[in-house]
Amino acid sequence: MVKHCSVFRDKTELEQGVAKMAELRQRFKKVVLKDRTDYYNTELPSVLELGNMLDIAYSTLIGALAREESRGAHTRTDFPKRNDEKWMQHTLVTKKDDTFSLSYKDVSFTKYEPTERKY
Amino acid sequence: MTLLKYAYYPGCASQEITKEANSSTRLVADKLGIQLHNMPKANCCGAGLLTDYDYDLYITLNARIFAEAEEMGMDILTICSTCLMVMSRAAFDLKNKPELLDKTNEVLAKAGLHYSGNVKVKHLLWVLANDLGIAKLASMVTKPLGPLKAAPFYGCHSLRPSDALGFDDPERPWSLEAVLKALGAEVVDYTGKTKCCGFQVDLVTEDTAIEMTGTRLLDAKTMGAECIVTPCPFCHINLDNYQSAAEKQLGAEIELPVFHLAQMVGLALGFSASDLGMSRHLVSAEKILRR
Amino acid sequence: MKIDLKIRRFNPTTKNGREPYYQAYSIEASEGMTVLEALMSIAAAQDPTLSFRRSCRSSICGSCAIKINGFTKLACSTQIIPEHEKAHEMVLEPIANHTVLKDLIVDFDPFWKKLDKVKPYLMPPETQPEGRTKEVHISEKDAEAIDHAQKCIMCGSCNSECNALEIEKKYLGPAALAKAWRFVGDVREEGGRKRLGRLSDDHGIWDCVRCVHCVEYCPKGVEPLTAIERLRSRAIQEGIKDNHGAKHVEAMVNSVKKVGRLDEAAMTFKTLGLLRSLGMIPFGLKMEMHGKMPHPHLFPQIKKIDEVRTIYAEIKRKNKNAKKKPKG
Ligand code: SF4
Ligand code: SF4
Ligand code: FES
Repeated sequence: MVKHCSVFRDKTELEQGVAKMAELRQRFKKVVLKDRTDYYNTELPSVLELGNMLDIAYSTLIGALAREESRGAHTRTDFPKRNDEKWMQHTLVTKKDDTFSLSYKDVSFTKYEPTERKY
Repeated sequence: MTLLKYAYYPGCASQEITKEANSSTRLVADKLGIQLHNMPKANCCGAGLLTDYDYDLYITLNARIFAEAEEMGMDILTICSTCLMVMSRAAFDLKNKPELLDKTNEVLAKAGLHYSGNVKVKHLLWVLANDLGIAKLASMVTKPLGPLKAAPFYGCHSLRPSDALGFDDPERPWSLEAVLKALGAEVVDYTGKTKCCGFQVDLVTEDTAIEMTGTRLLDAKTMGAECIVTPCPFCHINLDNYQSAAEKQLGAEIELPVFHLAQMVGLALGFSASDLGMSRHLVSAEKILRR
Repeated sequence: MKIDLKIRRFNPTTKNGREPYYQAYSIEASEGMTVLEALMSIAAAQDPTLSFRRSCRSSICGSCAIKINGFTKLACSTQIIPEHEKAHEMVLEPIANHTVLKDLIVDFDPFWKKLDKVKPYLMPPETQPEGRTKEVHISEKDAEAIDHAQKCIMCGSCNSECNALEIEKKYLGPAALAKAWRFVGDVREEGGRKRLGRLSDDHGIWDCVRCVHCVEYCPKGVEPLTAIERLRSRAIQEGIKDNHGAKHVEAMVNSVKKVGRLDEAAMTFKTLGLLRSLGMIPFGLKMEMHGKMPHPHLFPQIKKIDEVRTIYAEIKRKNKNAKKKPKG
């Protein structure tokens, strides 16, 4: 993730990241526990955590790849401008039967309207 | 070499209870060329109890001690670890909190006193290990202590809190070991040497105190110690006076003579057991001294 | 750089682990590597059965306290190379004064129960004073008094090193008492007096033997001993003095005022009351024979004792004035 999806990112890097992460998720399907005890087995939660982290990482990558603009810590060097018209939206990732799909939700404005950072 | 002279602060315990520590220190210092100057005005540091009562009172009364040393133009030398810790914490706070120093001086002014914040508080142990130096000390030994197996007992207050004390390492202390080696003794290592002797609760929860004392003694004994050496009169009081009570409470024979640091140095410098007031100890050291 | 470690293992559910033993591991340490990173690399690459607690890896969650070469530290804030250079070994053990459950994991239940006992929450007055409609502001100076105690991350390092807890398991311990001060010392607190009464009971503030270990080993600068000293001062101010500890302190305070220094005999008497003092007679006699029982009458007074008394009077006056000022 540090290489493919840090603050400055672009299409090529992200695409490679998505591919690598997909492969890692495949490998994870074959994960085994070496510690087979049921008393303070700390390997078990770390394996569960790893699976979840892979899902989150994958979601982050595909969301970032789709969002062709720059906004805050998501800086696409290939799309350096913020684009409120198209992207003033939340990215939603849904995982179903091991496939991920993207959808979007409008941002609701309350007291403070989001504006571009100027520093 | 610079002249070694200090404002001497033996502490209440060594003036009234463990008098032998005080007199031995004077003998030893004289022989080693360390000048000890009396502090006739010095009050008690509070042994931590004044701190429990009122922080400001504790700080101001300690500043009064420092003011006297400042007037004498010397650093303070104490032979009590508790005094060392209590005074060092006060000196540390006064040095690092300018508002506290100002506030304290306001009160001191009412008594016609002033403290500028620069006195250092040192233990006899540090002076031997550092100011005088291990090599120099070793060169002055006339009666090496070998093959005596001595267990150093630091207790708590000569090592902690390390930031305020600023000498030695509480986890791997070296000074007492180095001094004992310079005197020709064989140093025995054991687990409890930097732990509490229990003195602070002698009069509050006595059983706890006795159990602590006994545990430390047994630790040392198990590792082959023939005697214990401590830089602190309070530790001495507990390790020596409570030893028989500890033997009963823990159901074990201990019989470990306990020496003040200055007494050990004194022996190696050629003073006799009676010069050093050994008869004042409850656990007799005769057996090991006769050899 | 290759570093050899010895880690204390224990697992009551397996045949081999029922008796604690030390297992040797070896890792390739890189500069800046923490002890926790070493543990994680062992668990990941060498032995997944090795159990330890960790979460934040940045000394804020308080999970990873262990004994490193005999002293309690946060594994995540201790660099392995300098520590190894100093100790010439790398022995990792669970913290002390707690029951070990498995490997480096200990039972924290007693820790939380003690914390519960001090009621770790603010108890404001039940009915708001007339006219108070807004939140109560707390001044910077008032906040400073409890600031150190707020920094606790409940790692248990202090309790692990506490010399009093080692002997008396019922002692509330430094962590809980630091927390107690966080509330007693809060100007918005109303239950202070009640709390101080409870804290002055057996196994409360007066069990501390002032070994200073909690100050030395707290990774967050909480200084539990300082908190305990403040609690003791408050308890005495509130007139809660019917215990050995407080009597001991008062005897000392009076003794210094009278002669400028400690008079142990008077202290023994006042602290323990007449009965205990009688019980102490054999011990006293023994000390007497060796010339160690101090005589209160023979106590020489220090020079310029009037300076000491002036200081007492002045501090007393100042405290009185401070009390008169309204809170907050
Ligand atoms: S100073 Fe008191 S509370 Fe702190 S570790 Fe020592 S005995 Fe425990
Ligand atoms: S006081 Fe310090 S050592 Fe004790 S639990 Fe809190 S953070 Fe840990
Ligand atoms: S892992 Fe959170 S404090 Fe060390």
